[in-house]
Amino acid sequence: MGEPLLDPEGQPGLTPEVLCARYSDRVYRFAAMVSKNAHDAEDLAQTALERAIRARSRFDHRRGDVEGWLWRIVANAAGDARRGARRRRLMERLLARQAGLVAHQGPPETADEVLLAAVRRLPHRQRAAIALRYGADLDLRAVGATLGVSVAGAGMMIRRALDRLRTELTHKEMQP
Amino acid sequence: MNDIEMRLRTMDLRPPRDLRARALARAATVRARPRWRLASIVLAGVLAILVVGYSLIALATAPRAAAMGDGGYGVGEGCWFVRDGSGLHFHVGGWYRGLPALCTSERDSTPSTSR
Repeated sequence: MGEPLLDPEGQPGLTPEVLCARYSDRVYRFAAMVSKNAHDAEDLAQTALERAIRARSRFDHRRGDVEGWLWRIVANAAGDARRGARRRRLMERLLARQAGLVAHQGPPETADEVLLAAVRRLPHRQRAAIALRYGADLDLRAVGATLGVSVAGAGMMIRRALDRLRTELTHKEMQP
Repeated sequence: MNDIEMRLRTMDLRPPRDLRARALARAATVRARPRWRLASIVLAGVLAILVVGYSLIALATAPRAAAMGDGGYGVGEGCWFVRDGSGLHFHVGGWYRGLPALCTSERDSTPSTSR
């Protein structure tokens, strides 16, 4: 059993309710960026929060801060979800076809939807880096620590992802 | 900060209203899982003990390959392990009520598929 969970200010008593209230918005923003659709994003955010709540007793403040501990849990949950998502989508398509339903997701319309769709098409490592940096609002050191790469490596991954997004969005805007 | 970074930071991504409630509810209901896990560990342990025990008895009762008398069986005579000058050997032996027969007096030598 680890030490009592401390919040980022070093105060004890980060209860499940406080953990959810403090981090659910950022966890959802991260999940929305790394997942392929809104349904997967909700599932991931819920699973990640649930895992964090259940893992609170194992948190040890001597091994790192709450942020690092939390985002490693969230990133691991995202990795697990990504591995299972392809199989699940295949099954859903099969069931929808058998039931005579055609899954239809309309094309993105608003600027945010276009950008989100472009983020979701990034390779998964770049997508995770972008989601941690701009969804979870982590600095480069924390992004690197969560993904297991150096600060320079995290910066490089994010720069490449931004270049790719910029190219894709520019190309889209030039189309009639 | 360039335009794309600004747009990523200000993207309108609001969680569903019940996300917190659902996460809290699920975290509170997963306590049954360790009991299920414990049961499967106990079951696996019991099976492992049975297999190991059965193997130990089969090894301990392995006769000499040359022993062909009334008190034991040699190669091709129903035993799953036999000894000879070069040590202990495994070979497909006989069956007793659908299970591998030990070197006992109770055996039938025909493989059985039904128990």
